[in-house]
Amino acid sequence: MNRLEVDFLGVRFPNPVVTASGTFNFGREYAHLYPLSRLGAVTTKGVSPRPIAGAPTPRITETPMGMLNAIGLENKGVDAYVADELPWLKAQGARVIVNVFGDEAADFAHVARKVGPYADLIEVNLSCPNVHGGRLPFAHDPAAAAEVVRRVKGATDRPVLAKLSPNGPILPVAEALEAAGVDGFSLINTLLGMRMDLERRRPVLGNRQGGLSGPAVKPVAVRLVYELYRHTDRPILGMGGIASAEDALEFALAGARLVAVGTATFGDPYAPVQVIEGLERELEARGGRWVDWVGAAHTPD
Amino acid sequence: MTQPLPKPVSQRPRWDYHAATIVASEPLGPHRRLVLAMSTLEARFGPGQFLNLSVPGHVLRRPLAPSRHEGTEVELIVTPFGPGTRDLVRLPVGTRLQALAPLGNSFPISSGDAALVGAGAGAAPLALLAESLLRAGRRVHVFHGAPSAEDRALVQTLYERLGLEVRYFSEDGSLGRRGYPTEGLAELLAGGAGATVYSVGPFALMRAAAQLAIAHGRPGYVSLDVHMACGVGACLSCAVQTAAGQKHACVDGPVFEVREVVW
Repeated sequence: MNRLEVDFLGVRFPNPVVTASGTFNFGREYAHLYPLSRLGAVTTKGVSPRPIAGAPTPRITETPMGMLNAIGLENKGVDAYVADELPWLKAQGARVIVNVFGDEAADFAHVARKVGPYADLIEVNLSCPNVHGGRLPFAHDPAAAAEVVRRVKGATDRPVLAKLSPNGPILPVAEALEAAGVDGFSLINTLLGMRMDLERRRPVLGNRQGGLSGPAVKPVAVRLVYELYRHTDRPILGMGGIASAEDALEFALAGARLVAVGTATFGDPYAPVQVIEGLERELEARGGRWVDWVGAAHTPD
Repeated sequence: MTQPLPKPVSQRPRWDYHAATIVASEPLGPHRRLVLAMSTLEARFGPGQFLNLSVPGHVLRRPLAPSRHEGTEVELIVTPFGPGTRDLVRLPVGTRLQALAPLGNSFPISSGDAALVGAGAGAAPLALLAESLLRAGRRVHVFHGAPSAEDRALVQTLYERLGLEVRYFSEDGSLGRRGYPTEGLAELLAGGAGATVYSVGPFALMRAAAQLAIAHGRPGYVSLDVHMACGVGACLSCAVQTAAGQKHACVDGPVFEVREVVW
């Protein structure tokens, strides 16, 4: 019996462990270490309608039990990925979650339409700036975020996840997205942060501020998954500092049906596989299945 | 120049995940010489290639280019700079780490004389290069710069064991000449030496060496040190602006021809 098997929005995942967007590119760099089909799914780097060069360097810096990144959404644009990486990734037998973003709602829909044939799920990155909305992230504006989801839902028949930002109002945004027809949620995106260089007396990152990830953010992420689970009946893909099976089970208890491993992959490229193998051992030892843990912290005492 | 320049060697060997045990650790002035035993590593490090080394208690690995690779032993020079390198140099002999290796491209071997211009731990990949150049029968000039006499032990360990004479430049004049190693390079090239220039060190030093190579119509190569996380092309942290567009130091470099880099 496969204790890890899980259905998520009609897609069957052999295990709940996926990669987090931006930490695994399109999987090609790691495909010689283990078959990508071993993972629950590969979540791709964010894809935009046109190529984006990204932020000035330094783009990353380590922080206590975490890291800050400001890659600036560098990517080759949807046409390059549809021509090359996405067909290759599908051919590996991997399940694929395509992360999409753009400057305005129509951009998201354009990308979703093009990547749809290769995607098991679409993940909408709402943390990018809304170029025509004062450059505040979509995730800070329930109406703008809802418009994105409405347009994406109209452009693809694939289930649509909205990736929520811990820097914005999560519950009001989630409520607006449900009304717009979102199928599920993923959270958390990184927490905004900054680190200073004492010699230069300037922020370390070329972009000045960046997104904090890694074990340092895990308690924040578990709490937000827990909070959201109480307010929604849509399934949740949880992430934020997951590096072990125990971490993954914490997210499951809080309400995550799938979990993503991100920053841990930089420390160890086998991290996602180790979480899968750790879950197999944990659930074998404790008895029961992954799905029994999902949301179990919410059951009455 | 009429001949096309040799390109950095992009052998792109398939990197893998290797256990690495610290078997020696000794101070070299402000630096530390670490020797790792990597018994599962079959590939040989080309000069300029690097490994991405785990540091216990740190979320990110540290990229380091070896100075020597003998049998299963890989020598690194680590300069404590931030929290990660400070913790790395304190690790006792016997500590087991993991490394992704070998990563990146390597310096091409010049067809004639070579001029190596380095500072600090930048001397590490240059020393591995010097070994390859000597094996290929090339004449090797070494110019090393430091704030003071502090790199004396480093230079002895890395270059003098190869039988190379090093021209030392110190900012305070306490060892060798007062000044910067690019002054030695300028004199060599002005004297008509048809040398290929190789430089690893602070950005300003590499840029100055690059300008001299270009001014004298000589091939030149640098190894760019850009903050990176994955080391293997996935995170896109280590962007480098080149004449052929944006590249990434971990997989397209770290070695670049000096005319390729947008300085």
